[in-house]
Amino acid sequence: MDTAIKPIITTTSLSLLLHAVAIAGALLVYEQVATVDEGVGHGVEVQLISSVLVSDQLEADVPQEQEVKQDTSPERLLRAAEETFAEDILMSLKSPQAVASKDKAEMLDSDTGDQNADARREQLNTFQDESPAPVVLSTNASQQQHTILELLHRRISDNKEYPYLARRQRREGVATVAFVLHPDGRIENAHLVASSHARTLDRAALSAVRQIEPFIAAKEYLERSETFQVDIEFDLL
Amino acid sequence: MNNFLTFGVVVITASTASPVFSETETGTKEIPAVVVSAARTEQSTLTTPASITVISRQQIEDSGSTHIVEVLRGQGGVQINDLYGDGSRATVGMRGFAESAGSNTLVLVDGRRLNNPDISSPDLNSIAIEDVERIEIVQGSAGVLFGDQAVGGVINIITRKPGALRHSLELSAGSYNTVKFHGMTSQAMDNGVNYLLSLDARESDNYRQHNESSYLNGFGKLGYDYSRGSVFAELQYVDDELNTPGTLFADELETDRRQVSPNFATDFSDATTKVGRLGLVQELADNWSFEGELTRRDTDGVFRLSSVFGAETENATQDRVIKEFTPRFIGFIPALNNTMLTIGGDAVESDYKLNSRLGKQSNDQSQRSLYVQAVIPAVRTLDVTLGVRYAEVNNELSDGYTFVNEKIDDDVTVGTLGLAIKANSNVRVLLRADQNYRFAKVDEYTNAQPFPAPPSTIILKTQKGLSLETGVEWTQGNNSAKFMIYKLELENEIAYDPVHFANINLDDTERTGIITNGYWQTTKRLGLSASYSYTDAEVSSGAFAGKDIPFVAKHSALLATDYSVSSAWQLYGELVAISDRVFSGDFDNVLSKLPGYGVVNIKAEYQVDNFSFGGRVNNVLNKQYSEVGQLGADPVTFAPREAFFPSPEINFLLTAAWNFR
Repeated sequence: MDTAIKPIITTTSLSLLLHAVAIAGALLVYEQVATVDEGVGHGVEVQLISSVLVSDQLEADVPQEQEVKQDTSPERLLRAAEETFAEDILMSLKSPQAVASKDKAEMLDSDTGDQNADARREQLNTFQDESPAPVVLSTNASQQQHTILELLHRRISDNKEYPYLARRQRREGVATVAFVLHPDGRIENAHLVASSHARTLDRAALSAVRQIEPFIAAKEYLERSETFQVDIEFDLL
Repeated sequence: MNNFLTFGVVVITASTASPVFSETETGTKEIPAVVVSAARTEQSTLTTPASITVISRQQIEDSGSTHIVEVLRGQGGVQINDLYGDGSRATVGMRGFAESAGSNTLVLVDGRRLNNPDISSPDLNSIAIEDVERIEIVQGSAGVLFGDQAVGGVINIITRKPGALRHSLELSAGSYNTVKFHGMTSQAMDNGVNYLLSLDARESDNYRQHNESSYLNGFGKLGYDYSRGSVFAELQYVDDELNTPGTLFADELETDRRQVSPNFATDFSDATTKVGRLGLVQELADNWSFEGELTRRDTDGVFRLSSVFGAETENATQDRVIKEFTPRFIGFIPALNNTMLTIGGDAVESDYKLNSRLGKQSNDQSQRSLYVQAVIPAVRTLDVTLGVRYAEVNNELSDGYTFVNEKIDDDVTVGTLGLAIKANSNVRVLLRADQNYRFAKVDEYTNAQPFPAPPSTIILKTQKGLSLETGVEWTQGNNSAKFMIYKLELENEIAYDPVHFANINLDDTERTGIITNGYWQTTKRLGLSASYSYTDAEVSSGAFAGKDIPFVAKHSALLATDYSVSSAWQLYGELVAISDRVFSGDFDNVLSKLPGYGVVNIKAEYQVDNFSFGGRVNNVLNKQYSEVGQLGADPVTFAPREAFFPSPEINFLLTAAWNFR
């Protein structure tokens, strides 16, 4: 029996030790955790990792929103961040004219007499029906380009699909697709600039791009036909 | 909500701006990258309308499980029977199969069958848990898609696919002088070549006396991905040695539950297994692809198996060679609303040899089958699944006694009809009728026949069944819940009747049950999961009518929680509970019941840089219980007696790991 009791004592004390370490660890970090919860919520940290992911999650991941909704501290953070951090970055990326035009844009926005602004608002709402149009309206050319790139991103994201056979075969990769967009919304010469090395994924990437046709918003932003390209990344989580 | 959305989109504008809003030299404008990822719920590529429970890599790591058996134990509808508590000789059963679980639950590793042509259970010990990417538990039979032995359910184990360069080393040590090593290196190179090498080694004295084990598992995979498909070659070598202390009677348990009864003091079970495999995936035309694997599994076993009536002094050998060819075509038909068709055939050739004191057996079995299954998206919210499989078996049996080059052939046709209704984006309702079958194992013919054998030789009939089930699944983000109810009716269920020392076809049996489970991510740090299953399994007609089918627990449950204390610290705890059961083999229900129990296991892990340090403690409350109990016989009076396989008391394993990516 001695030989039987010995391991019991050993394992029990080791188990107690492990418990103690775990509890001590938990206690030690608790305050830190609590502080962190007060500050940057876990969910928000994730949101900030990649804007592309944010965009995807906004469209596809309802629970993410709900989780944040349940937790008041991230909401507080969101509000704070909206007021300071994000706007600062946004502003810093804009040309001085764009910054100067921000007020003007807001004026335009509220000015029901401005047909142009109304039309743009309508276009934006068409493609961003789930979210309030965030893009600052501007007559500035480069700002317009930013906006159309964002719109194209969203429309392509709407059509993205991970092909079943590729999922089944666990194929991953990045396909780069280029295409010409005409002001009348036609897509032409959609082709692969770089292959994902998997034909099914290449086809899905081309299809996601081709399906945005007709891209009627083009006439608002393009004076002549232009070439665009996009990386479409297929990842199995 | 609005604030959040606005914020999100503002951040998109802000942070994608600098790297992406650029113009190339040719004047091409670059659109921010689009990421397409498949959510966890979409990961399963099985085309069955059955409910599938997925255990992800993350869940496996969170649980700190060191054996695949630990991960599966208590999961919805799964019953584990682990003889020695180390997973080495465990069987996994679903839907009320316990004794014959190894022949009624199909276990697949990357599509390769672990089930055997003889009654040996699928060798769960041949899988290193570190190599597993995820486990899919298919609830209910899948006779059309997987054929023979997919009766109670399917455990589909998917191993890791090489990605970016990665190395890992793990060293563990713990109770019963256990030491364990696992090393792995894998990489998928830009030119399409990928490889994975893994080595798993374990030495332990284990809980019982005369229960020492020595285990080595080497696995290598070389693959090549090209634009229209991929090829791979795999080699695996497993050397598994174990001393087997057998059962103890209640009075022996009382004296010392770790002892070995003198009769069993020289028993052992050693086996080496070699697996070679070639696979091809080829895209044929738009929407169609071919998949096929060629597998050879070669097991050479040596064992000594005594009984309470006397110690065995001679070794026996058990060898099997299994060759499989599993081709299939998978495609979509756009003209038929994108109906997905799977058309395949399975061919399995087995050569089984047993050489023991009772003589030499040499049994060959050949199975061939053809199947077709269609998943028809009838309307946007409804998928209809239809399928049929035809299978035939040819046995050639020689035991030098009852059978001399005896040829026994049979064939069977099964069908399936399933409806999957997407009530909304979160809720799916399933309705399914699936027929299933299992051919008699070669040694079910030869191992046990009534004595004297001729002229009353039993030619076993093929077991056939119908599974009816319905349920509802809900998922929202990380949270999920499901509720399933089923009825499984079998005719000619094949079972061992220890009273008459023969394998027999039982009269009709019926199993009904409920399986429910859920996962709730309460906060970002704390996750809770629970599963419960109720199983009512009884013989519905004949001599045992109304009796409980032995060794099936009515209630089993798992409660688990994972808690991320910080990004470095992670804790996990689980309670596995099971109710009392009729002893294995006790068809007459004459013995008392094997008591139920609840066992608590915990784990803590600390990660820093590329290192992690963890510890798992099993049976924290130090319960003295037996996971397996069977009908034994008194060595003097021959009267039925309860025989136990005592499970380990509190034990631990500490692990240090290095991961390089």
